Amino acid sequence: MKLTEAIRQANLATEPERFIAVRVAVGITVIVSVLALIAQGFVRPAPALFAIIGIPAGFLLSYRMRHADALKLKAVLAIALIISVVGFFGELVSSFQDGLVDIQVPLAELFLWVQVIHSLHVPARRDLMFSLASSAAMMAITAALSISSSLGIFIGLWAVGVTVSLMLAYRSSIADLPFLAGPVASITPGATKAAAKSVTIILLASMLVFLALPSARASRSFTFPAELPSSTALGSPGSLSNPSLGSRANGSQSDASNGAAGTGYFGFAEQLDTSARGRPDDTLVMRVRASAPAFWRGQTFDVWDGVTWTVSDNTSTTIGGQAPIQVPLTIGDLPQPADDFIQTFYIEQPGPNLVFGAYRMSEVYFDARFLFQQPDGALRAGSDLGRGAVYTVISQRPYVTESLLKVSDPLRTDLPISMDPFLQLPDGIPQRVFDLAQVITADSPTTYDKIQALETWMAKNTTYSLDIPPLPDGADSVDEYLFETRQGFCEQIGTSLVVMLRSLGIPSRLVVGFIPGERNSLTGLYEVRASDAHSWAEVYFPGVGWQGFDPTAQVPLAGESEPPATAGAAVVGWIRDNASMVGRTLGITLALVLALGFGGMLTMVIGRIATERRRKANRSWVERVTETLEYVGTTRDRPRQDNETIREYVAALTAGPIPDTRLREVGEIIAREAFGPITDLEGRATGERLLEEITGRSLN
Amino acid sequence: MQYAPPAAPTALAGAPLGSQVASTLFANLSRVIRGKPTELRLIIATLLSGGHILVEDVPGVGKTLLAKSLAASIGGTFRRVQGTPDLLPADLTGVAIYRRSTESWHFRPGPLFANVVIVDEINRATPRTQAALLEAMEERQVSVDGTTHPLPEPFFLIATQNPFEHAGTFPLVEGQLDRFSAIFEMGLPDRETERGLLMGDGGAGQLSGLQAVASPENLAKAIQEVRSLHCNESVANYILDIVTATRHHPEISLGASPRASLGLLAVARGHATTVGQRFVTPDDVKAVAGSVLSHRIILSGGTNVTAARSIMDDVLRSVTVPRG
Repeated sequence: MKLTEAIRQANLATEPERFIAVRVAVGITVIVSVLALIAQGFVRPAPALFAIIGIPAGFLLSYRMRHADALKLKAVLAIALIISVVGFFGELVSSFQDGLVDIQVPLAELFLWVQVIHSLHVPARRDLMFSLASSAAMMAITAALSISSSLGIFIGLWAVGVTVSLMLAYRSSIADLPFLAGPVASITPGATKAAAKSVTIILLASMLVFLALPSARASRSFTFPAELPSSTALGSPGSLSNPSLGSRANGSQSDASNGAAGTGYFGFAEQLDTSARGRPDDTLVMRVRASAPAFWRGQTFDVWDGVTWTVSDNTSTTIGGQAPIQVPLTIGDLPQPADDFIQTFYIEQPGPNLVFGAYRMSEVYFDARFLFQQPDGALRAGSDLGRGAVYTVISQRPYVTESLLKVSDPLRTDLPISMDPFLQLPDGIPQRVFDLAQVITADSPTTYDKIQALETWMAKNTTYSLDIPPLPDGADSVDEYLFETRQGFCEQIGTSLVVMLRSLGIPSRLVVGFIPGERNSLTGLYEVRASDAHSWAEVYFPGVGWQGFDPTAQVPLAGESEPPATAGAAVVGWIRDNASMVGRTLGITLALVLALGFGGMLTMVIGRIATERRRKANRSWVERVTETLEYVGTTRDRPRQDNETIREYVAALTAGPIPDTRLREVGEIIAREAFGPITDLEGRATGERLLEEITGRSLN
Repeated sequence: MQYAPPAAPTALAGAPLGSQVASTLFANLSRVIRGKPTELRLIIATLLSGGHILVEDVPGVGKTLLAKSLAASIGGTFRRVQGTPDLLPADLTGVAIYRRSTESWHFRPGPLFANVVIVDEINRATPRTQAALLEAMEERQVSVDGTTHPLPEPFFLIATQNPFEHAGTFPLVEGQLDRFSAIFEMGLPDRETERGLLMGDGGAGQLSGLQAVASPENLAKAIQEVRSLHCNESVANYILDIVTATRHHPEISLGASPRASLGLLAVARGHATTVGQRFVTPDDVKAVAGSVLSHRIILSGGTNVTAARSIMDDVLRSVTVPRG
């Protein structure tokens, strides 16, 4: 009964908002939230355009119709709302049927529709406030879907808009009070100060809350987004495209001076020329939503000729036909007990048409029916992967331990014939390379130990540098790196490991892809840049499958072997080396302090609220009426001071040119009831009636 | 914003006797003392509380005129004593004289035996005389030669002193000041009022035309009535808060005594009566607190009533009033 009454009250027609400033401020705030949603790219262009035009038009229309009886309009709007909700569920169902479970776009669009429809009928302040609230919901949705921190600008703009709107609405609500001596402007200085105070408090509190909240976790992905913007299909199905290769794509790559074209990495190609030099820049290539960092593999190479890696078998197989696309095992892959590892890739820069993912990809949600699989397991899309492309990969990450790798040793097992290509070495590799491999690994009993020994030797005797001299004509890349320059980057280092392992009879290959990239703690996504392109080695272990090894991580940066010059530098170095531990300790301490503080604050606030509720329930007639009177005074920007008697306060409130005698009478009645010897029920009734007249609302 | 009570409470039929007396007194006094409604109200409040008043001001602002008009309005007996160093206690209390006709000692009452007594320049009398005077004020009786003679009812004493002349004076000590319910500064009239005085509006000229508007019996009854005026516990707490605040104020070395809190309540009751109330509100306490307490506190920087008043204002600002 109470609920229905409350609903009825809420739906009573109220006076239309008089101040156009409130309307404009709310309109702008709503538009900002819409723009924020659109800028995050979750809305298709047509609905976006419709919203950008429709919302201002709706606000204008509802301003012009603010006095009209809008029953018919309301009915139309209700029907439109129902249609948009039905449409939302329709899209959801069809997306389920397509196997692409992605509700983000339909949900965002639904919210957009609601905003547009609602903006058509916002005559009163209450309706405007509802618009503001629903724009808050939209900002929340946008923030949840957002993959970049550029949303911060919109959040800032929106917060300003909301603050201004609320202040204007409050001003307007004060102007509505009956009995205000003087113009509205007389309250502004105090109101501005109070607003500034509360904004500061809210900002501080929200910062505290923000700091205390657990940081964004990418693992909460509950959908498998997949999307392809308009893209050109490639000429021949299954072929490889890479804009970074420019016109030389698939052509002979003999120009060794500078292999990088554009921003990307030239290694995603049919061949990898280790004599090429280049330095990819820091352009953001893609964002990855994943619960943990991993190496995002692109493809592998198996044939080495001393300078260039190539692929022995380049025949593509078409896979897919249903969503999600199931990825078959390829050579060397073994089914392993593994955990599902979900990664969503958001492409930010046109790149190769390779589908990246952690080893070993088992399912791919992709906005196309088919993908092409190379014999090494690399996946290629049938079209360009431009900016805006999204796909989700589910990988089975094998559970591998050091002891397992030590036990399953390829040197002690009869390798299958299919592993032969991964042991091939060209003629012409200098003998000292093989000798070195033998010497380094002489004391290592197992393959795993041998790999460790080789990595350790390279770490001790070579340095990492992107600026290495060009490869002399006729020189062997590995020999040059290991014996002449002793400097190299991931290609030289990874290739050297593969070549030395093959010379020892251990099957291995070179992989190209990306390192995890830097995690943006606001969005929780890994931001992968062009310079994060990487190559490393993969070794076949019988019974386990391919296992990646990154020798580059062990090789120190060139010019970094000097001992720290000062104690300070040593401390800094220690902190850098143990950054994760220091950071974690600090983080945990900070989190604990914040949690304790926050918990204490919360307890205090809850306690206060409970006390206040109890007090309100038990307060006397005098307290109740006095509080109402004080509320009237506060709305007139004249709160009561502690040392003011009720008569002094009323005198202050009625000090205007035309004193409000009703307030004075209420004050006298309160004084009589508070300090007099008897209770005068008639007087009380008079006081209540007068107060109700003054405030314009029921006292109870 | 200071709360200003209505200028003169209307004496409605059925209003308490005290209020009726107060309102007629107020109207009468206003004809002589112009432009001082707040002071008049406080003086009437003190009168109704049964207390005595010390008026501290420079000569010529109407101290004596006030006392005379009060006496005239009450319609009782009125005596006036000028404080001088050779004034003896017996000059105030009276002496027993041997009357030969009856062959007995006969008491001849002094000037204290009147309803309204003015002691001008009380600080020029010797401490011994002052002590005798103050005993009479407190006990409302005098003892001469072992016989106790009660003073008439009501007995109302107005003492004056000039704060700016100290040569040849015996300043009242704190214990004696405490006997006065309230202290007032008359203050100079504003220009408008003073011009009115020059033009014959108010002042001594009106004194002769003043009629008695209350009988001493009425006044005595009214004082009885005011003593039992209703006072809520919250107002009593407010008084205690104020008194406690004077005891802890950094610039006050000795705060108000329990006698002071009793006096504060009594005068506040009187004040409530002057505005026609049957109960005490915090407004009444606030209105009289400065006059009742500022001569009863000892400042760290020496006694000065003007400074004490501003500190009392400070105290009142710092104390939270009861809700309502």
